Amino acid sequence: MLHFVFLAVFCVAVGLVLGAMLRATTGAAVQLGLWIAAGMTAVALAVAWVMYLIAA
Amino acid sequence: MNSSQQDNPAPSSAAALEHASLPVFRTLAGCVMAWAFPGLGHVFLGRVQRGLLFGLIILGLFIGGLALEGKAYRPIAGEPLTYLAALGAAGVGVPFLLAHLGGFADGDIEASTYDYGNAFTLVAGLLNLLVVLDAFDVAAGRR
Repeated sequence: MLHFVFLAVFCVAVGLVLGAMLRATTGAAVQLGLWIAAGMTAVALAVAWVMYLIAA
Repeated sequence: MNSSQQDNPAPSSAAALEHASLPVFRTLAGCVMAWAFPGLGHVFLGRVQRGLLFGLIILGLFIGGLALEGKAYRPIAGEPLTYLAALGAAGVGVPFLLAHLGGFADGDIEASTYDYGNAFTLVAGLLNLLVVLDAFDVAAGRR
């Protein structure tokens, strides 16, 4: 569970920085940042499952 | 085309060229400050809110990485990839130097969070390099 927390914190931090660089207004930046974070988390979980199934 | 579009035409390449002649000192100072301390360049250029956000997040990532027993990469002779990693981590600027001078930058390879910490410190540096480019765009009037 702690590993997932680290992953989520990392994704939110990176997403917010990228969102702030790509959008002018605060609301749009936060919205894009959270979308980026959600996408990164989803891809990380998908890749983790793929690696788990390959290893099994 | 309506009247508002006629009043405010889209930026032309000529207008973009005008930005190339912006004060060199302001641009250079903004970029150096953005590298030296995360967010400082944007504050200097008048984007205070964005600068504080960048500073909070990037410093948080870097300090969090060190707190997770990660290391701030340093170049090691004979290991070329460490040069790239050190270049990336050094993107966070003065905090990177302070971490090395203060002896906080070596990490603990036996800690379970060592790899997380490494990723945090490295990505903090890389993100700050992107922020430096963003500060350049701000100084050049593109944002």
